Amino acid sequence: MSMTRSFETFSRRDVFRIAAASLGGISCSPWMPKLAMAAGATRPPKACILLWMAGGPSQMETLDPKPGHSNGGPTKAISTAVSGIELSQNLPGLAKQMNDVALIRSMKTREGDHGRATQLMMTGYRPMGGMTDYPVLGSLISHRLKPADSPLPGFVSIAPFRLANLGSGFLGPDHSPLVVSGASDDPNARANLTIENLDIAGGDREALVERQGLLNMLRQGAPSSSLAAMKHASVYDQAMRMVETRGEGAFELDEEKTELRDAYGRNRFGQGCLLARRLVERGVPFVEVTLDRAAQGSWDSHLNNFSTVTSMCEVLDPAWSTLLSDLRDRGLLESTMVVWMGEFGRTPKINPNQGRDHFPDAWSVALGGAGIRGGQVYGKTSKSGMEVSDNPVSASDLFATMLEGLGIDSSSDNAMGNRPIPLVDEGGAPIRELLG
Amino acid sequence: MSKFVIFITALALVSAAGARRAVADSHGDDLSRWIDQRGKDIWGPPPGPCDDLTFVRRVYLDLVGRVPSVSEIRDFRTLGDDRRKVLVDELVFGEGPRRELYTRLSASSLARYWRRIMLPPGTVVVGPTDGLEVWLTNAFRDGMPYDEMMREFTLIQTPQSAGGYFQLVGGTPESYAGNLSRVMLGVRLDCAQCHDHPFTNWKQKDFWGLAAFYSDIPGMVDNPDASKPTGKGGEIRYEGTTYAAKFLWDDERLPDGSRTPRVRLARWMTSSDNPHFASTAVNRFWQLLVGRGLYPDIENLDLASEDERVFLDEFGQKFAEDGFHVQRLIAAICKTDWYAASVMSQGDAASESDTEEMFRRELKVISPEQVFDSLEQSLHLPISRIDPSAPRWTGARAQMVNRLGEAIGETPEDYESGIPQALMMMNGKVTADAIDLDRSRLLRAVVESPFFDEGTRIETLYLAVLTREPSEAEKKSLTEYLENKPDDTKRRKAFGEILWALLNSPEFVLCR
Repeated sequence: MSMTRSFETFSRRDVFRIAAASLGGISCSPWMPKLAMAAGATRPPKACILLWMAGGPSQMETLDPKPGHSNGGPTKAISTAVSGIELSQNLPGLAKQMNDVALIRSMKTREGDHGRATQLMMTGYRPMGGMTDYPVLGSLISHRLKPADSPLPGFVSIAPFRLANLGSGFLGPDHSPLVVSGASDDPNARANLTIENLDIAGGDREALVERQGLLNMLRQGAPSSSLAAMKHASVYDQAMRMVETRGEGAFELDEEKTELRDAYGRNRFGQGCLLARRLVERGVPFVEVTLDRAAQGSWDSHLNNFSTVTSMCEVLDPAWSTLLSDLRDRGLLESTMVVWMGEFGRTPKINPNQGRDHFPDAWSVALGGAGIRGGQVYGKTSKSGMEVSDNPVSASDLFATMLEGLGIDSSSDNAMGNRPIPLVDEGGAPIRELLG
Repeated sequence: MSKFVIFITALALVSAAGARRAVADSHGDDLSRWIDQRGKDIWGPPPGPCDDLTFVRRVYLDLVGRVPSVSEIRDFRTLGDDRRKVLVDELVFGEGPRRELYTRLSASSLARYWRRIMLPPGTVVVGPTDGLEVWLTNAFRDGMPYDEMMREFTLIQTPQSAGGYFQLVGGTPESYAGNLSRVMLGVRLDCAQCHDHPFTNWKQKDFWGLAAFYSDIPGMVDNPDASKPTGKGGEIRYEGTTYAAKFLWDDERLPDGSRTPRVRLARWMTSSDNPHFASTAVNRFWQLLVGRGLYPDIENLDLASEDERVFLDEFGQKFAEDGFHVQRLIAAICKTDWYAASVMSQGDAASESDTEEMFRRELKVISPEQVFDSLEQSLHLPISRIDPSAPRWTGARAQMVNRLGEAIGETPEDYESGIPQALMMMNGKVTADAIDLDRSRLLRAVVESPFFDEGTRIETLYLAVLTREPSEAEKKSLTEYLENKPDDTKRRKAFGEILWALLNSPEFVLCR
């Protein structure tokens, strides 16, 4: 977008020269944290990986088990690396990583509809009749943390599935997600979490430079106020840069050791978490990996909650725990926050179908890594799980905490035209106990 | 000689008959004038009209699903003062010399649009969708009235009826009920399946009351958690509760006995007195052609205020009075000043508020199939089924359509393509072949034609791909670009680069 705009002030003959210069400039300064570190620079930049659990996972079968209460069902609790903290038996891998994870068991929100709750937890704002198009978390963070000269986008969304149609909102197409769709669950399949067509069609770098120049000339015909045209330009600019740098090699998962790929899990979510690490290594500040369904059903466990959640956790647990240990092994956990959340929790009371329904009153999320003091539980639910008994946390509190953990001033504003829009909805405050 | 005279006389008679038909609004002209007037009452004067070539590009894409060929553009220019109307009649009603081609293309183009409405992106579809698309194609080709089409969907007797739609959406009464109300009435009931809807007035008994009409259709999927028939028509059981068949906005349950419940449902659903039915239909066709629904949130029409839907309801009534004639509706919309309005290139961020009552024509994102079919047209790709290199039949079309289909916006105004889609257009096989002089028919025809100078070559590429002439500035820029090439080989290759840019320009996928 900014590229297109700035070209308008130049004569058309300049276009070719500028395009050449800009492409050359990028390739001379690949922006990679590992390289920067090797060169003795500062610590790696902050990043965030969101494990988005679309559908609303049951807190009682994951982070807040209630064995011994009738609401707890057959789910057992297991001890973790931190004495005194227990998790559900569905998360044995995460239990070992507990030192680096902080649980919030006192989420209290007011949206019980998938679409509205997704909007709340993705943007931090309650849906209010659509007057303002709020950006999602990934766009907020891309906007603040994306390095200006990065060849990769600031927000990558892997296998997204959302129950609401959300995007970069008023922050515009520069911060909308690069969607890696991955249509197949077979890791060797053509479409699996790779990006095709990175080779320059019938040409070389010189051709690419010429094409960029010609394209810029043609763009000037598009109406300057058209959002579609702006998005097109933004997507093409990013795609050009991806071709130029071959995506920094991020998508070549084959480079990883077989054992590590196995440990993440040979499924879309597992390999998506591995890809997320590779993207963060290459300077992408926000990656979102979605888990919405597994072999048996989805997080939206109105029916047969217990077997469904167990099956979901068989995918979740290896991926999540391996991601944490892998980031730690590479010295990236201190700079990378890993967030686990869905749009709400599930009713403590078990329904006649052995299911649990939507429940925003008392549920759990987990944070770990950058800026977060792990090995603790914040907030508490009552014995029955029916209400928060200690330290309720709102969506805006959670947003403020995540942003502060990433070094972003949560009391600052974004600008929508001339109008300041607070990053975090009013009433939200960072939870100091969680930040360390 | 005498034979020739007879032929001419016959032609004259045919066209005279055609002219008489047109007088009786057989081509949507009266409706078109009504829309123009009613629109002016609400929005004020329409924006200025687009130029001829833009109009031609629009109607070809909208009505037959691809860009016009260079010869079609040439033919259009000979049509005289009324050329826009004549062209619409050719494409919609198959008048003129290419009847067979246009009738076929417009039916399949409409069928694709409706298939996407009935099975929107992201739907979990059970089985292949070809049967439904074929059913829709036949219905549109045969000029089946819209209410009759929808009655066929309502009146199904087996899961395979009407293109197998019941089966495709999951094969349960509940999945079918949710889809019928969404598609035909612009009402989303799905949330009321599990609980009373928190923000609208829909209750579980509304949702299940509609599902109950289908309780006797044999289910296709053996799902222990799905609803159960009670053994009695017009009743359904779910989670221990029995619900009786009933219409929406009506608390009376259907009286026992009498006719089969679905006959009554079909009559109620598609009645011209059911304002949601005709209004939703009109709203969908308007969105297809103009880009944004008259009430933009098409599938939440029940949330519209009286004011917001007054135009729509009147328009729907007109459509109903005209016998739900789809082709006339489409022709009528295409003949309005609103359809022909130029895309506004308004200034900066001044448009922040109070534009809601304004009419605005935006760029329209073309569909995945339109992208491929336009490439096929522009690039002169082989199309014969027996040609082993025809991309249409080698799987190249399916591959492109699938990739583009992963990122479709909710309305034609939303460009949602991402980097994977851009990369495919930039570097995919179709593009690679198109810009390769050895393999590209278009490029060879243009570059190797001895009658063309450089300027004509550039113009022909523009016309074939973008349906317009290059601007003076573009011509100048490109001539310089070519002149700077050191030798003939490089210059010939440069035409490939120009073609690459045209195919990847925003104008190719965003119809102006």
